Amino acid sequence: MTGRRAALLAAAACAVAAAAPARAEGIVASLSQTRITIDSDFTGAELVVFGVIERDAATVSRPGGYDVVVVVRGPREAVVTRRKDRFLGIWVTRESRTFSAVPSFYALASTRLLDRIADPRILAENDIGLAYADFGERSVSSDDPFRQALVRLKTSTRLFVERTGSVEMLTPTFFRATLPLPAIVPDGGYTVETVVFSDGARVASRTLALTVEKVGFEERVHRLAFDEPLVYGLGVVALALVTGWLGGVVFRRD
Amino acid sequence: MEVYLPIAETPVNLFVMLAMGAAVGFVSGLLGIGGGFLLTPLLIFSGIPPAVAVASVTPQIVASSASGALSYWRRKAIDLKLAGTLFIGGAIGSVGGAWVFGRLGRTGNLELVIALCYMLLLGAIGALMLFESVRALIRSHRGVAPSARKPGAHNWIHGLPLKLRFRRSRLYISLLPILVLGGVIGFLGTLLGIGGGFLLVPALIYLLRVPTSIVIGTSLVQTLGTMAMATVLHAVGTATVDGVLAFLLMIGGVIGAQFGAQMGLRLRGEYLRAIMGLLVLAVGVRFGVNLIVRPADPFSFAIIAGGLP
Repeated sequence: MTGRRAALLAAAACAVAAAAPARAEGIVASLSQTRITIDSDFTGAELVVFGVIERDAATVSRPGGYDVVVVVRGPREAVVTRRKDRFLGIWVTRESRTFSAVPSFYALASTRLLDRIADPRILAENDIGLAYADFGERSVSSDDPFRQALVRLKTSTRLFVERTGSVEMLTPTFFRATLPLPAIVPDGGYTVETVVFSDGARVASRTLALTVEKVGFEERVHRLAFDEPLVYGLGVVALALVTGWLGGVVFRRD
Repeated sequence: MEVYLPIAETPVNLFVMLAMGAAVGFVSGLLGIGGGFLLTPLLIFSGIPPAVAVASVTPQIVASSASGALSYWRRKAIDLKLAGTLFIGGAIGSVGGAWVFGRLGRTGNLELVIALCYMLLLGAIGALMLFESVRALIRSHRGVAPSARKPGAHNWIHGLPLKLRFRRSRLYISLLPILVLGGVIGFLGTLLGIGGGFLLVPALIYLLRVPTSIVIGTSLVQTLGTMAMATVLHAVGTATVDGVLAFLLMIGGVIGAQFGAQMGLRLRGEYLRAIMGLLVLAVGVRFGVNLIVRPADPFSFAIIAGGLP
């Protein structure tokens, strides 16, 4: 790991040196891995994001320094949140709210508390922070109980993570963020977005792609069940018949 | 050892699932029942999503009824014509059950309906069984012989039209009650993940007057057909059949059933029925308690469509 980190550092340093003169900042960032494979003994992973904020002589000075926010987002999906209420003595689902584009996974790391980095309005515009993240329903306020419950439930399964203050600034422009991916992380195409703020304004961003892929026997079963449901259903019935028949033969009592 | 269930999308302990299958298999061998009505609730209580629990128990019932039917087949104790007629009704009921299952799943009330149906069905049947067996036990302690049922007594069912002859069962009865019976069992079985033997066997004996020697084998063939159909319908309709979970349950169940059956030969019928009544009642009450007690978290969420970038 140390070797790889050193290589990344070197790569980042070269990129800084090679950068062409520019007025605004740029970001060079790199992921510890761009492809995560989940097999049956996958117990989670740590994704490390390294980066350098590019500056040159022409870049405006930033006396306030930089704030870095790194967000990992999984593929978006439609989610319904339901609430049970007591009805005629029993607990029944009475109300629900649908969110059309909830990230299946959302992990955030930042240098400081988000409200110290920028205004809520700016955070919401940039889809940053669990309280402001875009779930596809702009009209729903961030203190909506269904939205808050969804964030709470997904946080408890570690599919939503917010680690403010966890981005390390190794030098004023060189940062490192570590984001945890739990064992139940969904598969699909992810994005890793790094946004740099200064004095409450967004000054640069860079998005990288990350692929999370399930492999192995369970994944093949899963894929068959969804792609060829009839074949899968008949297969399960055949398996049941053979198991039952074998059981009847092996344990024959009469 | 942890195994990842590909459809339930949760890791489970391999040995816990095998043990669960074996325990229910033991009870089913002991009491001569399918055990779906115990296995499905056990899975639900252990955290498997109710829809997956119901749909994955159906192939387990296919396996257990296939192995049971095989032994009745060797003894030629099956009325295939009656089983086939029941299955026609069962197939129609199963399609209805799968449709309702999918619809309730989309509106978020599947869990509630499963819990309510289990509570009512198991509560009523458990109470009846317990009552009946305790009465039989008291009678046998007092030394009173149970009153024998009059053989060949006819009821209103035997007056219905569209009569058909079932030679093995020595019956000449209307098609209608058979189709309705098969249909109701198929509907409930598909919706709730139960084979329905514990409903079908008494109905065949008391309503249709099928000879007791033929009843169990015939009921097993009907269960086999209906549950095979339910498995395919659940796989195609809602993709909730977890093959890995079903296989673990089958293995445990097939082994457990053998020990249960051996134990069953050494216990008295009234005691067995009393045990089963208590068991059924307990599961029903547990569902009831879950419905009444304030849930730990009133909120829940479900993914309704995914994979969009």
